[in-house]
Amino acid sequence: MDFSIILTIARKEFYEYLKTKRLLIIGGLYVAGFLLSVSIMSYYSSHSPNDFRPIIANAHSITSIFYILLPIVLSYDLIVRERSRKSIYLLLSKPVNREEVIFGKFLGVLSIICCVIIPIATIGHLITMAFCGPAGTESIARAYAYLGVIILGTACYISLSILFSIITKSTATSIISSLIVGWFGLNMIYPIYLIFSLLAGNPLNTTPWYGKLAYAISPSNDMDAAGRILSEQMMGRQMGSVIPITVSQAILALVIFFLITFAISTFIFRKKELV
Amino acid sequence: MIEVENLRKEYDGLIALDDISFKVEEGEIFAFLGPNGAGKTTTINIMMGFIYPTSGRVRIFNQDITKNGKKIKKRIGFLPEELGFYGTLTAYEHMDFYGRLFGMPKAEREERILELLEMVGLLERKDSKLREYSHGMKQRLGIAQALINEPELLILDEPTSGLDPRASYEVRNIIKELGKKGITIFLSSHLLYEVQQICDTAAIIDKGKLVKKDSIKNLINEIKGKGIKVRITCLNMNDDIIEAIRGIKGIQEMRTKDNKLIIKVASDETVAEINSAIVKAGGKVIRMEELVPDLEEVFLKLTGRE
Repeated sequence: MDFSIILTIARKEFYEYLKTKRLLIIGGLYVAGFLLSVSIMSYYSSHSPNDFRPIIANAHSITSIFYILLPIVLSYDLIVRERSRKSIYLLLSKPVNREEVIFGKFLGVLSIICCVIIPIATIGHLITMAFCGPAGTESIARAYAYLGVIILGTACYISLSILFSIITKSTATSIISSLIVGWFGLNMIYPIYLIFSLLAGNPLNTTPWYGKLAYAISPSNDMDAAGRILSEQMMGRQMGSVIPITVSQAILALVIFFLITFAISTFIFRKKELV
Repeated sequence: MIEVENLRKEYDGLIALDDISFKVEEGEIFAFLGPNGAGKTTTINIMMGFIYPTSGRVRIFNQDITKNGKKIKKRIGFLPEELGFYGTLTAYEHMDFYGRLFGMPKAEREERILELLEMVGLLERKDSKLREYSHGMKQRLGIAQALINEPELLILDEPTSGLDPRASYEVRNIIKELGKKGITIFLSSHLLYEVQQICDTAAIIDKGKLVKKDSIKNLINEIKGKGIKVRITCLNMNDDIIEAIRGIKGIQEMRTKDNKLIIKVASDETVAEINSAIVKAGGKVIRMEELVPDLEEVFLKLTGRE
């Protein structure tokens, strides 16, 4: 694979997305939601540097829906749209591998998400520190580490959407499938497990491996679980009591989810007949 | 330059290409002819690696397209039948994007883009977004993008499809000029008039099978060699004239309409005899012209649609 080609495709995607309304709408809502929640929580906090981590953790939790929506809405049509507008034929008539197309498009969307999330999180950190005083180096490092996990989570949803944009034939089917599976389907597996577990009379204080798997299969759950990097307390709950996996298990689950969906996408696209 | 060997493509049991083989030599302007649905685009899609053959292979520059697609495509320019551009990008941005994919340095890329946009008459509109372009303008940009890498081989799929006569004429002229520069051109078309004007050699495909491949001159001569077709316009046309002509030996075919006769004869001598017979029967020949068969006639004959 040629990295300069991947970067060329990523760059094109990046600049194309800067001109799209969907980024403006979903990105704008996210920015407003995150900054507003950080400002309100900071204003009503005890104005102590100790508040920094829970405020940032809670702000991410409040806006967590955008970590699913933003990647899906930006990437559901990455391949299917190229096919429907026939631009895929011009693209693949150049010395470009199909894998490079996937990587380039993935990188383009991921970089635009990073360009939205990282500066806004940084502004959020600054707002919190303006109210609560300077946070320690460890707290700031943890805030950015959690941001890294969030970006990994969005990468999982981009990868999932790319998969649907390869296997579906229309943009509508692609976004519906991505939303149903990514947002609803994967998040429903753990509650279903809990219901069956309750009906079977199993104790809820211990979770078997398949229960953990049912939880970890959703990148959204993994992002929640990794929130403990910042704070054990989120939205007034002790995270350890409701989350069956550890932070490292959550990160591992995200990496595995990403690798599997990306590998499947690449494999299917390589074999796909573009007619 | 292009070797297509025993190419076969099936879709759910339906045969789109049935054991097609042909070669395109370097410097040739090669026409790939066939009616809609004959298998032209399927062949091109396999040549470009968009779809995979059920069996057989395509070699370009002595390399297998399925194994060395990337290397081959560095030396190819391609214009698909249906052009798809990115509506939010300008013509210049498109060309720049494609130039980058070929790894062209910035200075070289800029110079080449401006040169090509000028060649296709789009220099003044280089900063317009593609959604503001007409079909003809997009087609011209399509040709420009196919030339960004100074290709040795140009594959054009229906390059004048959907264009008005003026735009078609302009595109044909561009292709002719490129042919003169020594670029090998593989032109897929169902417009025989266009092909006859531009190409040296033609392969005719119908229902997924290769019907014939030869130089256009030979293809026409083959039909012509079987007789001479003349159109005679005469005054005082009557049944006696028709009967007199029917009596002449060597008449292969005769049709009449008003004061015109279209006759196919075996040789020039027969034409002279027809002239005398008309005069003897009281008619007067105003005009006599040979009808030279064109590629359309060749095509219809070879595909059994005559």
